[in-house]
Amino acid sequence: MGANIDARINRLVDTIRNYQCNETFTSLKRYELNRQGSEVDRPNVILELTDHAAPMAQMTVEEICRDSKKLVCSQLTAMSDYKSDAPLLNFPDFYNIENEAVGQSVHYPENSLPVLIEPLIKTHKDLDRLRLPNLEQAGRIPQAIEIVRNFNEKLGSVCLGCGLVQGPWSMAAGLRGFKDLLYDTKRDIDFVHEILDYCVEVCVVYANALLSNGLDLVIFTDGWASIGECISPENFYRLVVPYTGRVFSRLPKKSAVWLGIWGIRNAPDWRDIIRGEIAAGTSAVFIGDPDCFSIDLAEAKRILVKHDVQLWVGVDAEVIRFGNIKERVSELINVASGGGVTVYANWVTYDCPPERVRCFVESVKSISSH
Amino acid sequence: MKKDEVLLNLQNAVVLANFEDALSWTGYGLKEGIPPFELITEGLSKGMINVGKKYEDGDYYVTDMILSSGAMNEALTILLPFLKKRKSKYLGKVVLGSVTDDIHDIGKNIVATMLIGVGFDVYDLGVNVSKEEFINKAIEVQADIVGASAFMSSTYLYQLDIKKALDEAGLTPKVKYIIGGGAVYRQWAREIGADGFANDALEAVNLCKSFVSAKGV
Ligand code: B12
Repeated sequence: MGANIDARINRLVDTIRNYQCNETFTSLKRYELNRQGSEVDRPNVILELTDHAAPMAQMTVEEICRDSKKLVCSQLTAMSDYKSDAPLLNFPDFYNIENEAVGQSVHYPENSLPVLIEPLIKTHKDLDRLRLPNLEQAGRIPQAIEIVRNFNEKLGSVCLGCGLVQGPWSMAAGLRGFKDLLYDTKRDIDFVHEILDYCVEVCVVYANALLSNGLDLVIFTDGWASIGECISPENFYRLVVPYTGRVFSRLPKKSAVWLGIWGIRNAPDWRDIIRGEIAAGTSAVFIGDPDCFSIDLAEAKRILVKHDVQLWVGVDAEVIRFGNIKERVSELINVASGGGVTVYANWVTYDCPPERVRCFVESVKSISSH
Repeated sequence: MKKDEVLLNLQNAVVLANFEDALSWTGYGLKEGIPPFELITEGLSKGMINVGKKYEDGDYYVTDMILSSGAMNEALTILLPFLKKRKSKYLGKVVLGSVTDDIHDIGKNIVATMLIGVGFDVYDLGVNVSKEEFINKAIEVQADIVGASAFMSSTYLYQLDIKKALDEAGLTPKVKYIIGGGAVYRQWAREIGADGFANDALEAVNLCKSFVSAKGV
């Protein structure tokens, strides 16, 4: 199996290298030009697909969640079929990795995403007991680093390497349990700050380890910081922006993208949320679907350009699975055209028919080159 | 202090998500001899209904509803033991859960709290609940209503599996089947033959109320 999977990975690497090099720019070059503010041919297109890739590579979800080579193989299989621009270099259950590494238990079902079993921090004492993860042996962190190294060695010079981690607020929600963390904002706010202080340290150690092993971009997903649904704008400015900002300030410049904050349309003024994200030091602001269709995206882009921050726009899983893909993509590209834009599939569901994913990638490429 | 004032203070504690006040006014109300069921229906629950209205009017976020339901749950920890002793007070029994492979539960939890608040006996099975678990629990507790939540376009199909399993187990039409969650629409509920659908927790409460007649309240 070992030699077999290496051979498979090598074949996939060749395919990906070929199609990336046959375009005007490779995804890495496109990303670098974007970063310098130069014009590019089209946006990079990235697919947030994880469990979906398992059956494509004839693997179970559990296998790709436990084995770094299988994960790389599944990501490259999906990428070489769909011709997207960057794989996601981390295990599918990216909300669990840091928590597992510091001692929280994770349950691995055979064919769906692993889940955290129960909160690790029930009392102040539990927090006092927690230490920083040892990168060589904590949970799946050594394997996560291995995934990045493996990819970097094979495709690092051509292809943009992105890895998903979580922001301190989302990590805290997993460790403490979301409801209790939120209730603590009323019952025991000092405790919330202490938990966040700890999470900042873990996030910094983990993200820097991935970057120093060759990752180009760390994507901080923060679903638990979705505006209105999980946190009020006030608490977002008070508890999310400063702590995430502290993490970003301790990473190499422009190496972090903040993603997965849904619901900016729910804020009294979405511009303030975007400004908060910029102030935290993200190199790109992600505006997911349906937010990107509910706010003035052109204005958002103007704000971002002024601050030299890129725009990532999302297309929803629902649209990719059932909707009018071409219409949605052209709506987006019309507004968010020009440099500094990346198009991101918010998520591709496990059961999404492959031809619909191909249609999505193809639409981004063809519509933006018109 | 007059009973009405205590109940009003309790309502306000829930509306403002003041955990401490919710606890202390509940304790005070009990000491003053206000029946636990009244503290729930006239105090906590009315507060929660106000919260729901504020949400509908756009004055409150989902996160405000979660915090308010936290204040209410805090008070319920004192009150529920009294109610458990007098089961006849319940409006009906509801089994709730998020479907297989789905770990989203914020919306379902709000529905559960609101249902408890208005007097339902709620068995919340949590997340990633299989059809077998729904059926077994419904049989075990003789549920009046089974409610399934789904939040993703890859998981809502499980709501159909649950419907089929309820039919096969001979539980329908006596047991009412309702569905909801971010990924679900009214049309889907009709397609799978569910008895009801709700867009939000208030609608869910009204739906459940419409299915059961008060039992001994
Ligand atoms: C918070 C959140 C999370 C949290 C989960 C928190 C939790 N414990 O619930 C975290 C960060 C962990 C998370 C994880 C994931 N998430 Co998520 N998440 C969300 C988010 C931002 C909010 C959902 C929410 O709670 N809304 C608020 C509640 C109150 O609203 P509601 O659900 O509609 O509930 C109301 C009604 O529906 C109704 N109701 C609810 N249940 C019931 C039941 C009955 C019986 C009735 C009658 C009524 C009823 O009453 C409720 C109260 O008013 C949404 C995006 C969005 N804006 O919706 C994505 C979203 C649902 N997640 C999504 C995804 C993809 C994921 C992940 C797969 C990400 C990943 N790659 O890991 C994982 C899922 C893992 C899994 N196996 O489930 C996608 C789903 C896409 C799709 N269409 O399939 C969404 C839409 C984001 C997106 N656009 O991509 N997520």
